[in-house]
Amino acid sequence: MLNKFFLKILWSRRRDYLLVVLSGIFIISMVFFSTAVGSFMSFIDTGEPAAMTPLIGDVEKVYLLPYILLLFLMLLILLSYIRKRSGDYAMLSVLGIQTKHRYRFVGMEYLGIILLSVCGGTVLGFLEAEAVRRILEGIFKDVTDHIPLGWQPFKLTLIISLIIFGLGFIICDQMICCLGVDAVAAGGRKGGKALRKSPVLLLAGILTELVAFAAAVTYWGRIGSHVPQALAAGGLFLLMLSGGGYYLSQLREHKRAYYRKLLWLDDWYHRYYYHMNMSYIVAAFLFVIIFSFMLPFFDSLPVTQPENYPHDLVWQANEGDEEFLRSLQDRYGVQAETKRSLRVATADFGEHTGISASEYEAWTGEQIELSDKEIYVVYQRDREDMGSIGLDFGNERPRMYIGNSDYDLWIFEGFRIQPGNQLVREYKIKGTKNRILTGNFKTRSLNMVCDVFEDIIVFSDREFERIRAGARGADLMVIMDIPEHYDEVAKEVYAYAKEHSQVNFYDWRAGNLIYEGRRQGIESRRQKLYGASPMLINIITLFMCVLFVLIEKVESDYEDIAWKYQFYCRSGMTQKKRKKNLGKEVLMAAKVSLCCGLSLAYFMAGEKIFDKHMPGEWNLIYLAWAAVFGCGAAGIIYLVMKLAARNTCSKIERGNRNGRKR
Amino acid sequence: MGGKGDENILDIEELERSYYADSADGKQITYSVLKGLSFQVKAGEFIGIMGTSGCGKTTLLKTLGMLDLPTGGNVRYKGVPANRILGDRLAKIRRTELAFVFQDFYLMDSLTVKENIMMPLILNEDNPEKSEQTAVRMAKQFGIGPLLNKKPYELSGGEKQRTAICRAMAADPELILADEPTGNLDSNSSMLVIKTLSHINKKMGKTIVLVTHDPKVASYCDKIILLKDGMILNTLESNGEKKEFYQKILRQMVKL
Repeated sequence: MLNKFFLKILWSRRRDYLLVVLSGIFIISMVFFSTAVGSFMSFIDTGEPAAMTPLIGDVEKVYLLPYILLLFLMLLILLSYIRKRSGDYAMLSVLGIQTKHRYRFVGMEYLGIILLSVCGGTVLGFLEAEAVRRILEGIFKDVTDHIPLGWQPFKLTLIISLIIFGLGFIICDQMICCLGVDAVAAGGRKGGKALRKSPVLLLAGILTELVAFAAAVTYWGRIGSHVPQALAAGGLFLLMLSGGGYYLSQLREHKRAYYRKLLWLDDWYHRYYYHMNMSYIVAAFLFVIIFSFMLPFFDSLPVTQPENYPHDLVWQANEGDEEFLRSLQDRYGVQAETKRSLRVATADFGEHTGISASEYEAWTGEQIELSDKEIYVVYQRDREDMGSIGLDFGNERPRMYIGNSDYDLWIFEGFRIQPGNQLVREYKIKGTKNRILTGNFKTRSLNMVCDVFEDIIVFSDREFERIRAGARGADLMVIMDIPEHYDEVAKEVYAYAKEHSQVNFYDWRAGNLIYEGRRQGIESRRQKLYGASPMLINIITLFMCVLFVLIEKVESDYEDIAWKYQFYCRSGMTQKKRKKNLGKEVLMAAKVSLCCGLSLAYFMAGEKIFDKHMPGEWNLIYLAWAAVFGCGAAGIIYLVMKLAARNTCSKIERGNRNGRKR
Repeated sequence: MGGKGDENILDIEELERSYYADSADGKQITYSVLKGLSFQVKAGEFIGIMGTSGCGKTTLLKTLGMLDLPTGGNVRYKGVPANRILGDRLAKIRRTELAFVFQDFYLMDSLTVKENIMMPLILNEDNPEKSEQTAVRMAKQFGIGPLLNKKPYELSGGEKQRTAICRAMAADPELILADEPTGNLDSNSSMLVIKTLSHINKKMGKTIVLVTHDPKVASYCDKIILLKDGMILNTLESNGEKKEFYQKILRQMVKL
């Protein structure tokens, strides 16, 4: 009997319940999608279906942030649901519901949400994964013609789903226990304070934004995006709060405009902090979507970037290996080009190729004038890493050692390299350039702290000859293009290098410095997919959060808006005008968020795009993508809010009609 | 009068209730709603609480019903301090000994009238058949028998309130707390509701504490506590003559 009553109460809330379940299905489908991508990547990498432990490792490393955002979305949805159900829960409490029954009631609802979400989400995620599998089979057709899904994504999705739903339940339960269901249900409504303007806040906001702009293209912005992002988001808060306050105060002094706009701005004057806080949350989400997720997403597209690996094989060999090369040319028709080089270790745990200015000129046709203690650095970076920190953490005079890396170079205390080590600031960087000559290769296999790319360092001819004689390590760079018998050639090069060539100090398997364009290309595609897919999930999830927060705000403001609508109706305002005012009031927060969030995001993103110093056409492509993305996002938000306004209007009108009938 | 005894159901001693809020300049402001109230509610009494808007009537009723805790003084329910009655013990008291009637009815639109009345019994895990019989009996007794299968949104205000009273009475509680039960009703419906409550008190021996603005409704009570600014201004007792008591209340209301 009790269960029948509970189900009946739940049935009356079926629309709200369905919304939670649909959101749950979306969340779990994203989880399944991510685990499936992880499983596909694992198969591409190893040729075998993914095992659970490495799959957990890969997925955790790449998708942790998306999972946190999905949990956040889950919490928003659950809290909103609790707000809608609080009346029922409160009534049952007043009637004296027993603890065991309360838990049965809530548990039954929650279990239903979990079961329906996991089942529906797995089916939807499976369909998404099938679509992705077909795309991947196209992208990796040179590696395999069939990528199996396996059972591990199903198991891992179940584990992650239980963690997300478990944490969601615990957090909501704790919030209800600590704050009481009334406080959770009230949401931001009680937090409204009247308008206040502050010149100190405005000044602090402007200064913080200036610091954020500066940070975005200097050290902190080049080693990552967290610091400029945090500064910009903090500055945005101060600017919106104080700027909005100033605008509304000024408006009050212009009586005509003030009284005209007061019809939909009155609550902003009355509960300014509440409205501005909600608008800020949406603006900050939009900023994060564009500045932190959209740019890396663009960087990873298209996932196949063959221009980053123009040669089949690059080998750091030694003078004296020419005879072996000739035999390869004779037997397999290999086209091999050699460059006299030396190895250069840098204090950022990198190792690079040094060449002379005349060699560089012969190679590229570009003439460089260098004095003995000057160097020219050619950064071999793909779009993703352009605009990141330079040699030795961006020093103008990098700490360098002429020769290959070994244990004897660094003297540490903690993480700081101490005086007395062999890395010295002898050379000054005269100029830099972004250009792929040998390939977008990384020195290290370990991926321990950060990846350092194998860049080209150009010395003056005289200096190059002086230092080359005493430099340890490889001194001949071989660039090969292998038209046929690739596997045989590679096998022979590896076997020869094992006996005669320099060992890569950073490779835990003590491999030689041989970079295979094809293998690196596959690895790069894998990395790009691992870069793009979580960003896509992040963008979709955070965008859903944006829509959700805005719709929640409309629902939360419904009573006030409805009261005002009735008042206007009884005061003789025409229906057209009432609808117009209501629409403006509903759209106000979205407009403020879009104006502030998108402006800041595009300013910062534009700054980052130009700081990458990409080829001109790529700048245009990025800007065009960004414009399409922003317009699309703004369009969807505008449309959804228009629908929300129309729905609110119809709901109030419907209420009026029913009221009259009664 | 039926069922009156010397036993106190509620003992209220120096009851205080304050609320806190932030001012525009960030300072905390304290609003003292109840300022040291003391009185007793004896079994079988019908007490009315009157006062101007914002004088603390609803706050007092919520505190008496243990929906809210005092910030000072004591509320004892059958001799036990209210702040010691928690969790399942409180839930059991709410199911079996205490009932609320609200101005806004708080009926569940998803359930029929019969199911709404049965709700406290179902929550108490009573026999479903017996619960149904009780609901039907209650509905007939209070004049809503033909409405049993209707949904609350199909009822008039007076019918809704009588349904809420049936629900309150379903578990046969000792104490009924009614917060302006006639506040949303027209005068005819109000009279019907207050006569129902009076019947429950006089014939069935239930203790009732009622908050009201309406002196006519208040005249049905045995005793009236008049509140002003969170304090008891006066206590009026009825001698059984409604008209006389009504005049007495009107005279006192001028002072509010």
